[in-house]
Amino acid sequence: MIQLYCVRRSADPPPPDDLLGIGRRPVRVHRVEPLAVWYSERDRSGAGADDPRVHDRVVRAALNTATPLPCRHDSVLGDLDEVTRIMSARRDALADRLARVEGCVEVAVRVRPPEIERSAPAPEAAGGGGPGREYMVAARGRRRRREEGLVAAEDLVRSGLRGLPILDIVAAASRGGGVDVAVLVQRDGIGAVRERIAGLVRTGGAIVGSTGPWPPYSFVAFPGPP
Amino acid sequence: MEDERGALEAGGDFEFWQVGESGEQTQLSDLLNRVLDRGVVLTGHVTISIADVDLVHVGLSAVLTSASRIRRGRRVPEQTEAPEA
Repeated sequence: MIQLYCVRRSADPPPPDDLLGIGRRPVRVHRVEPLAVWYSERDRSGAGADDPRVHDRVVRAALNTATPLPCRHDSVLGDLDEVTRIMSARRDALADRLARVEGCVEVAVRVRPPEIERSAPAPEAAGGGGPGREYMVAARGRRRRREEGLVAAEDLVRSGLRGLPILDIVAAASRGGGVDVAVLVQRDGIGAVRERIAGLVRTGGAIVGSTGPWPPYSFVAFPGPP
Repeated sequence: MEDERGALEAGGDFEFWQVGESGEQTQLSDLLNRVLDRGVVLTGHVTISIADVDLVHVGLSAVLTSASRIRRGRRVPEQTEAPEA
């Protein structure tokens, strides 16, 4: 099996010889012109608790020389022929996404759960519904409040970073609680972004922390399969 | 309050930093949010759900968007096309 880490241009530097991936397998490059993918071989044994860190470490090693398209952690294919086939089918879309994040990195900004998410009342179920309907209505209300919370967090960060060369912003609920707002920044702009965020954190407002730079995991989505 | 860290294990000359809430847990949360939920998917699965109820798991062998992008699709104009199995 083939564990995928990231997609790059074929002309970008290959992985260092001593770079190890998941299962301590060496990371290699497979070229599907004009692109290339960093991969390692993988057996079918179970996943290790440290695998996400290892995955990110490999993608981060790629980031050192050129911005890659990071693959999601569980991207596993059968063999290199399958990799070639799938990458060939999406060559143009992959190249387009790669061009969009070229020279960029991602910064993570953590925002406290917005008040709107916690305090807004759930819409009441219309009369005549049974428990199933009530459940669905309540679930829809929770979802709406969550989406409104994400928009509010996104707006908060956008406003806080006004004037800086921010290329894109997306917000998602964080596994650690609160909202994780991802900011796409040109590499040479991250110093200014970090300084601004540090200032915002010191004010004690809703923006409580930040990490970075990350490979642009949050900005490489595709519109759909061919 | 501010805690800026040095390079990660394979970070080389591209230094990783952390501001505000510090600690291994915070960094791990940001890592998992990215590595597990986002990024290009060349194979995997997708869960079709309605009103937060997971209904169908579909195995895939194609390039798809991340789950968070699917959920946010209605708010991002260029992401309005839902992926297909």
